[in-house]
Amino acid sequence: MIQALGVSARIPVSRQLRRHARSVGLAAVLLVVWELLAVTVFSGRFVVPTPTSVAGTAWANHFFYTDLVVTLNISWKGWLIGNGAALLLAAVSLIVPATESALITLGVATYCVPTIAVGPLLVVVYGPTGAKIAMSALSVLFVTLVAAVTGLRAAPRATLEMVTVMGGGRWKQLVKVRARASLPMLASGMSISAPAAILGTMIGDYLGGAKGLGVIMLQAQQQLAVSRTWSIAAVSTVVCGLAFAATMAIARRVSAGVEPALDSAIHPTPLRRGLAGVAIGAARVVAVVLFGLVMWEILVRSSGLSSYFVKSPLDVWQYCVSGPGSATHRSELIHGLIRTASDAGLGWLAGTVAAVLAAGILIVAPTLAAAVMPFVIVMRSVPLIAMTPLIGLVFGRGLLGVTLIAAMVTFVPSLVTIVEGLRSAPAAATDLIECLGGRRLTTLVKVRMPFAMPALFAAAKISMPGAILGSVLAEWLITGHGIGHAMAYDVISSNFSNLWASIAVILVMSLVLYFFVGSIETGIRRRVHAA
Amino acid sequence: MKVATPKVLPEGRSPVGAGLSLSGVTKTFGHRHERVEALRSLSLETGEGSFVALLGPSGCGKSTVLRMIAGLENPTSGRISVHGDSPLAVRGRHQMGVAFQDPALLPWRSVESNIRLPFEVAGRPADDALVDGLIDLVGLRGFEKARPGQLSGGMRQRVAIARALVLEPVLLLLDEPFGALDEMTRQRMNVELQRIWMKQATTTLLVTHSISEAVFLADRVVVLSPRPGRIVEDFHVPFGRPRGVELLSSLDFHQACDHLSTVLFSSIGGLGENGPG
Ligand SMILES: Nc1ncnc2c1ncn2[C@@H]1O[C@H](COP(=O)(O)OP(=O)(O)O)[C@@H](O)[C@H]1O
Ligand SMILES: [Mg+2]
Repeated sequence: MIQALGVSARIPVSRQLRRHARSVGLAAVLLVVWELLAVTVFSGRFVVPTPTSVAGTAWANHFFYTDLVVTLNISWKGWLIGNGAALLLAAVSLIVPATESALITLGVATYCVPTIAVGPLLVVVYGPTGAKIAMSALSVLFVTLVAAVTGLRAAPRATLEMVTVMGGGRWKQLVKVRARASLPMLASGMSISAPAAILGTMIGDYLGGAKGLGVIMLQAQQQLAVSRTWSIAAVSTVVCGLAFAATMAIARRVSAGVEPALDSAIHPTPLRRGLAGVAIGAARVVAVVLFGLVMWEILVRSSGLSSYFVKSPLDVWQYCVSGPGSATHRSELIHGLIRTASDAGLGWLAGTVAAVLAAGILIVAPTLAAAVMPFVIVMRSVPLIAMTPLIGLVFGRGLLGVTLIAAMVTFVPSLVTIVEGLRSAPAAATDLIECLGGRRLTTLVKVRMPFAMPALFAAAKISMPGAILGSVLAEWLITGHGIGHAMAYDVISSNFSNLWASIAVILVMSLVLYFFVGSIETGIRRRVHAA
Repeated sequence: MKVATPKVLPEGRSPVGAGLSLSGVTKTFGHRHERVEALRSLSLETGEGSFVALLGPSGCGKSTVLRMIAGLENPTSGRISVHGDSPLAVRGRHQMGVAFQDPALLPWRSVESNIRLPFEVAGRPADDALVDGLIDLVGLRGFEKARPGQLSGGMRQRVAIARALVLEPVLLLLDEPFGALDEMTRQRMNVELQRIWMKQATTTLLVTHSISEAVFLADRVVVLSPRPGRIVEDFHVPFGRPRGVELLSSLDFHQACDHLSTVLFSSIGGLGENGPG
């Protein structure tokens, strides 16, 4: 998912311009279509303004300059802290391999936790601004951690062995070889994390505050100020795109001259197969979970925070399982969770099916792909989850809004990953099918799709928790049901036991999905790259 | 300096024409600023059913010739025809067999299923008897159900050869199919390839940088100069078939190799001891 950005570093400028001209043309056409739809189909329904009125509103409000500055000022701090933490974790996991699975799980947990729900707790600990910085950092950590770990592992084995032969240890390997080899991967990771940092801040804004893009976007949605909501969304989108592009440009310059690591250079640690393998895997998961629970308990005890806000694992256990009224609590939680999971699941399924179909079409029609892919790459840096108020405005407070958020959050990143998976088929294999007289469709079905199976599961691994998070946020902000709505109510009514229990349940469900799908991905990857 | 010898042909094959024809083929890669002229005005006619080897130093454009004949690249100028047809037409009729340096087996398919793949691409029912026969021919009996990951490099190449032959192609294109193998295995594979080829006698072009491989397998060895590749020698191999391992230690064989080696060296222009492999 991260390699997608290693595009076109050495393509001559004239060709890049020509290629972009096509995309710019397509953008112009889309804007005209939007304008036409807004004045015909959507006219009078007050949900879709014309692009000109959106631009006009943005202009009249000086592009929400003061709020923008507040948001960016928080975001860069979050970006820095999140990336620093990610790099630290990645380095530690390499030098002390025993800690790797625990640290990666920690990273995944920061991705799976519903940021908006931990927000109120972070406010208690760090104050309103500190909480937003923390949420921004949390949104960044996972993306960079994955990029860093993959990048650091991608160092060519032969070079690493050279260092060993010269008497260097893991530390020397890290400093002399791995750090440098990881640069291209890390560069893309850090670029993707730039818009992610803004996303985290905006979600923080939804909890309250005086200024910030998220604050005014939510206000505008609640006042049904259509044009204003759209223009704030548009400004946020442009800012995220620019943040991404700027980071990418700097990162490219820094990592110029380092060849991107080839997939073949990545040596996954061999897994045991069969029952023993499953047992070892399960034992590892149990150990990591226990470790997490113990850390949680220790943190709570040592933090000195009031047990009114902060609940320990034992408290949550009592609330859900052993304490008074636990049966009711449990059934409410499960009820909300099922609602959320089915909305998210429906959206995820729709998003994935659409992504697979779209990816297939783009592969069979390369000319179309050349015009469309830049959009998709840019779309990926749009904080879709943060566009929830906009969706609420357009599609109302029903099921459709939640499902749509889940579908969109799934569709864009999955499309990028799947297209890349389809393109990753070795040229020797696609050439072969061509020589045998096969068409593009034959190549797609016989070669590209099987080679893209790992990518499909890699996408699912990321998008399943993403869809759940999107649904929770949508429920929290716009609809009146599901576990997200229950949590929003908990915050208002100070029912922190239920809030903690809900976070725990969502986290467990997302983590289980992530690791389950991830293990399928690993299995398939081994099979596909066996030769 | 040419060793003039009558070519020994199997019955019913014409020595020249009707096979592969390249006329004035030039290939330039890249755009205005970084142009690479890979081939310059290459012309070549081979007979139907003949086995021609293309020999040359690394980077002289051998693979490019092969890829153009396969229709994977277009010549910048010049014409290429196969049995009087365009490469794309031959491909469209599913009459082309290819084996490249990378065997490109699909890792999730068994040996048998990989060999059957061309039938699926052609949309024809698989001829199980033929697949079975090819498995015997390339000596993979007992490994039909094995996956590529379980095979040695030489075995994978034999699967690739069997797959190239399964549609009984009119044109067989081989690009250093044994380039990654050790000398011993390579020699064994050469003997096997000759045996297989003699059964089907397909118009064949073999790209190699090994002189002995070229001389051992081919009716004709065409030597290319360093980039941009041009033909510097067209050598008719004077040995009958089948050729056995004992040929390798014969004086004639060594003379032929020495001759080609001299041609190659002089074309490279004094690279000293590091001659082409
Ligand atoms: N797709 C390509 N783009 C640019 N240059 C290429 C491409 N393919 C081959 N070349 C160049 O053409 C020349 C001949 O390549 P090739 O045919 O692979 O040589 P050989 O197979 O004889 O080693 C080389 O200099 C190579 O760098
Ligand atoms: Mg080559």
